[in-house]
Amino acid sequence: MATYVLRRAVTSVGLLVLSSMLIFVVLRLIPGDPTVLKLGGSGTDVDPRAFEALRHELGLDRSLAYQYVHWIDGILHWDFGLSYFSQYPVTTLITDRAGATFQLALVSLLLGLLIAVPAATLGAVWRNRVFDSLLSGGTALGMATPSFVTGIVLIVIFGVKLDLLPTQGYVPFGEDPVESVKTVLLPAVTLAVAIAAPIVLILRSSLDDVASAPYIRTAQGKGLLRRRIVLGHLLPNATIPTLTMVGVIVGDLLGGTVIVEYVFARPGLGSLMVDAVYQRDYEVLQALVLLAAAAFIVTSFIVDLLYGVLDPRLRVRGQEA
Amino acid sequence: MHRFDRRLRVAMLALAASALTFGSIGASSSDGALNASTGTTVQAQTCKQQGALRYGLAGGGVNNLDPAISNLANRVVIMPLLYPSLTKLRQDGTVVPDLATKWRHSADLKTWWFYLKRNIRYADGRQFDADDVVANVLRNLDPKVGSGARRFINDIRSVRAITKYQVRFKLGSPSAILPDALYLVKMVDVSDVSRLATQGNGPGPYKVARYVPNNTLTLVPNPFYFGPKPCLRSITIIAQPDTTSMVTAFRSRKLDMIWQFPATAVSAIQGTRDAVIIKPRTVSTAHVLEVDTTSPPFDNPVARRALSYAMNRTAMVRAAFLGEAQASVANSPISVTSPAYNKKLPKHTFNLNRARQLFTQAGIKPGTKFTYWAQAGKRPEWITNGQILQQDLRKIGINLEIEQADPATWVAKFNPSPKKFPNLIVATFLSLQPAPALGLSAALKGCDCNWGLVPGTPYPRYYSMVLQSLGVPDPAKRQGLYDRLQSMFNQESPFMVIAHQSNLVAAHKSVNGAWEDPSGNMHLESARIVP
Repeated sequence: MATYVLRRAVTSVGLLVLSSMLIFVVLRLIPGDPTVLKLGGSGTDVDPRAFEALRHELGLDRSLAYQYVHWIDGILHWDFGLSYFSQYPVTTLITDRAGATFQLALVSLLLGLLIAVPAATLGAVWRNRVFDSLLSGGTALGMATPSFVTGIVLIVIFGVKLDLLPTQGYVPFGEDPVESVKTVLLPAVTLAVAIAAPIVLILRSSLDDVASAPYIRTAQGKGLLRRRIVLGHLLPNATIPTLTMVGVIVGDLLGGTVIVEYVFARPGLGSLMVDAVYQRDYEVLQALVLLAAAAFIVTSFIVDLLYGVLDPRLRVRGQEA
Repeated sequence: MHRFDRRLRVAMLALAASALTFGSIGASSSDGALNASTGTTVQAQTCKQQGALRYGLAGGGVNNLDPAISNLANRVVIMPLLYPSLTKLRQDGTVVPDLATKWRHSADLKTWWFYLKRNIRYADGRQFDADDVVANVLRNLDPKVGSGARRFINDIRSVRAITKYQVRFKLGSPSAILPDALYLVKMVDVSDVSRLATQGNGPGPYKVARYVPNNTLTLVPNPFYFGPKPCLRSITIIAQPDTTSMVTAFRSRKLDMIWQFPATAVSAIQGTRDAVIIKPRTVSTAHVLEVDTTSPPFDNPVARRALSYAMNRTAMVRAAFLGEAQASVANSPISVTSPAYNKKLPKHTFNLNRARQLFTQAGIKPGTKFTYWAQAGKRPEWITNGQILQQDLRKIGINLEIEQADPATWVAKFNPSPKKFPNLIVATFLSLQPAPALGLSAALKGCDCNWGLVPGTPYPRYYSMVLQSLGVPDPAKRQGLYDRLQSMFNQESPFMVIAHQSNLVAAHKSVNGAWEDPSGNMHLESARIVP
């Protein structure tokens, strides 16, 4: 097991280094120059000396290799540089915004799982009944509807028409718990719908597969209660394929739920990323993309480890290999 | 009694004479503000600080607190609240003293003296004096800083603190409008420039309380402000993802005020109970089309005039701006609402036959393709204008392809100067200054066309006339020069003015005292919320 963990850890670090190189080069291939934007938007009559001075100040006049090494050196010292525009340290910008994203990610994941797991389980239990048909339709609708559409519908109903919930902003939980929950609710439901739909789809199909397994028939033959069969045998064994999907979702959420944060004007990592893209704020952008890549790599690493914990067969197979 | 009257008259005459000597004496901070709901003037008054104003900005929000390097939203929304200047604009576009009490100039208009108020302090309590003015002016003049104000003040040859409260400027050539130009030099705490972008310390009515870049900026009253105490407890500027959600938030009262909403939302705003649109009395800012005047085919003024004749400005104003703009049918950088507008200019009235004839004369044949270059998502009116132009050009055999890009890609196509962008028609917005000479100087360097680089253009003559107009104190003579400059602009068309329009601003009627000056700066210094 230790060898397996070590091998996966080394692979993850390698992937992270490769990602950092890719991110660094690709961002600089996008047309647009942050110095032009910084010196006056449409850049009317800006003295070329101002451009040169700014490029020098930002280190953009150095070779790409030098800039990359400088960036990595900074990261190793937990220094992601300064935003070209706001002049804030990138670490400050990220830590300031991480709360809004993490809260949204956590609440929406919990809500998504709370919707998906019972729904898929009940669908499997009540197979071919009305609920199952409704679930299939709902899942298809959830998969097909883009998050921003769900978000706008929720804003119009609960924010504008009923005026029940705020449609914008973020209040830290420690500052005002009630307001904090109110501000997270609509974006979290929006994301939860998007999260629940694929989980239901995979979990539902996995439950069907497991339901026809010999050990389930044995359990039924032994006369075990249906609740015990479902909770004790059916659900744990059907969870493993779903775990991969949950891993991808968690990585995505931690990287910043760009569209939903933008629709709800939530000051999280997603909206920070959008602004950084618009402004070509390389320092902020490359730190965020690296963070998103790291979130994916770490999550998939954890998921791999969880496979072993949840399914002894995989653990044994890993040891044999 | 008679003797008293005579004395009074003599005293009044002396006051008037000194006012004339000093060029201008203004009632600096009590010139009043517009009531959003009634359009009447609210005099500055003492008030209880109450109400928190929520102010929506569409797009990226506030990305920097340094006024020398700031985007349009920062410049016109935030800066008047944090950083005053020696002078300030009134609603009619004229300047009055702000941090200064008065000014005077030499007979040749090449030396100016500005006298400062004595009770000015930065938000951190530090005294503001003549040395701060000198440091700020020098900083704006430094080409490496890249200040947008530089091109309006770059004729300043020296600036010196004569006393703690008196500053002397020496200019290279005469200027009657130095106070107009100095309005653009915002006074900041230059003693620690490194903290300026993040913390912003100025002598304005408000100071920074909380700032999340590109997201929210909360301002609270500056306890050291020299003017009347602000009436609002706080102003929070909240970045909005886009104009649609901003308008929705405003209509559902989650925002008290919104800046730069699209013209397409005018009817929705007008249909919102207790909402009003705040408009400046006159407008100097303009939506324009720019072309590369250094490369064929638009290095030829005939081609530019052809394009100008192909622009159906009336239809554009009706469809894109829903009537909320003044079409510039004679293609002048001066708005038709300005007293400096030359009413005798030949009109570039929409005329496709004339456009075809001029295009042919300039060697542009049917089948030629141009690209209309606009920003994606931010200015829907630019796309509408492009579609109208596209349809009309098609009728005379010219193809116009409309392309949109994010702001960074958009600007990279034609900047930094001198960059060639032949066959590109760039839709953009120019923040022209209300002082006509400053607005007219946009033709020289304010656009990205580098008009002056093209051999054979009347650039030197135009340039010398702009300089000349700065040094003419007689308004009638100055107007004569403005008229000639506009005629040259009309003939040469270095860029095509579609219409003059300010940024559209709406507020709920509970917001009193907010007003917009002709160059689009929002003034909330005297704003308050009436329950």
